[in-house]
Amino acid sequence: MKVSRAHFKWFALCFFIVFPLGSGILFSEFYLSLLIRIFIFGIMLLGFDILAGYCGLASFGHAMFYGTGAYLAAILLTHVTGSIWAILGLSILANTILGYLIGFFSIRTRGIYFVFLTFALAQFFYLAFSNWNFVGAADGMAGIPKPNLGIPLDLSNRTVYYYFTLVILVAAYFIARWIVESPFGKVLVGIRQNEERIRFLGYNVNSCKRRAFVYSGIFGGVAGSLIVGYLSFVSPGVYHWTLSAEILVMELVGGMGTLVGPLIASGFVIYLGDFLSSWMAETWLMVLGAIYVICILYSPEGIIGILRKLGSIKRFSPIGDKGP
Amino acid sequence: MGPSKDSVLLEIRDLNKNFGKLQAISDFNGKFEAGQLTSIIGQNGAGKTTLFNLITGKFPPTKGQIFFKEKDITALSPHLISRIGLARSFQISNVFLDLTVTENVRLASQSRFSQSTSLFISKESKGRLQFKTDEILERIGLATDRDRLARHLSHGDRRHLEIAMTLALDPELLLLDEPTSGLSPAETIETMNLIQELSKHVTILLIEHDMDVVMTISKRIVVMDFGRKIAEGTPQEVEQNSEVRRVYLGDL
Repeated sequence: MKVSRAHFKWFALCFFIVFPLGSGILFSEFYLSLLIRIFIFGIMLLGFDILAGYCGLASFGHAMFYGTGAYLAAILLTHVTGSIWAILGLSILANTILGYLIGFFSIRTRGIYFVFLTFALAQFFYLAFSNWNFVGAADGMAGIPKPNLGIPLDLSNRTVYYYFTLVILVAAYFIARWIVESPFGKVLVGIRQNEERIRFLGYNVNSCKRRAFVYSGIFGGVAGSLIVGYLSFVSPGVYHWTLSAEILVMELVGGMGTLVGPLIASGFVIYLGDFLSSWMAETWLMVLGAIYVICILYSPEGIIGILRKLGSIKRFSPIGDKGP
Repeated sequence: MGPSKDSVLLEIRDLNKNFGKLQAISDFNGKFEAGQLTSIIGQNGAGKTTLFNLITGKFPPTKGQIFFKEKDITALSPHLISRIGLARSFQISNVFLDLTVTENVRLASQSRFSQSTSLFISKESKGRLQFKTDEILERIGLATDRDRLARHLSHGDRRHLEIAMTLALDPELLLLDEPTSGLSPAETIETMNLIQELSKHVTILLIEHDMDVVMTISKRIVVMDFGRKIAEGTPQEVEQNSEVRRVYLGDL
């Protein structure tokens, strides 16, 4: 029997749905916690793939959306409301505006300047929040109250939060899929492949790039808000450039412009990080670096590239030759 | 006075373009009538492609103005110029190499739909888009290669895809930059027939090196040399122009 990629997706979903049943019996509750973090990162990577993988804008400051979503949730939970819906709504709104502004300024630059500008913008947030006493400056905020769903399901229960993030991840996946398969998504691919030609076809490239920033910013903001709702803690680290770098590595290791690839890579990298850092602390980043280099050298299409080779799913050549 | 005002589709006034000390275009004036096929000839470096780049907004002129349907389009962004009905092809094939032939043409067709960069597309529009794409593929003779990646096309087919994409934009004025460059004699004849067929429906400005092609299909010819227009007229007039014979046709 041929198992297609669609089958694989449903199989994975079923696995994650039944997974919590084994928690505390087959494996420690720690794994539930790990998966929650993986789901949340996955949401962000789906958005980042729209920007970097589809539109070709490999920003080095994506942590700014995650950070903004995180701090917004922290402030709202502490001072204003516990409703997760209000928090996610405002997070989407704030990151829409932020995405537009960041897009507006950064797409005027190209290549290495684009990388530096997005990096600098994110670091600006890092420094600002490290010095803002209202949000605890460099110490951040701890003991943030838990959000609520507005229905008799308690988000402070780990299993409930697990399913909540899983539902949002699945929704995010379908929304991202819908975006990249819409007319807009096709134009993004065109921009990545040949920006000049797409311009002469009559498309407003800058407007499309700004929108790509907005959409990917929204995914990042939602992820940031969700992590604070789970950990009840936030620190300026959510804005740090190492997070932006980690996002980029996940994107590249997963396989750009595939949605599923970066999603798998976020799980892989986070799991590996947890596993390795327990007995080699910070030096695990060296292992991550090595994986990254191996990926760039031997599988530019990342994990998806490897899976395609294994399953010999032919994407490119319907006629079998490699062409000129 | 030349042709009556309303039949002039494109008008260029005192156009100049300098790249540093190089005068790529000097005092170029010209009126191009609707419905005609005009060829622009001249040696390499005469400024032909630069002229196209200025008309389509790739970069702004140093001086001068360009009018399309009496509207000043000088230094408008390329995407706005494209949208008012001016499409160009490129001398070196400039297609989306990692998309299939169909996807290339569909992406071009899509830009003329109101939902061109929308997140939603109605079933009806989607159908129309596919229909238009198929129609162009048939017309240009690329239907059998529809699912191949542009990367895997032969040079000649890539040149045809280039034309197919400009056609998908429903242009009123089509600027073709050496569509036969690098083609075999047989492919050249095929492309020539295609252009002749197209010229019945759309105004064409053609940059071309093959003099047989130019003399056969052009209604008018503009001759350029070192950024200047040195002659203009019907193929017969241009052929008999002594200056043209000296600088250009002399080496035939």
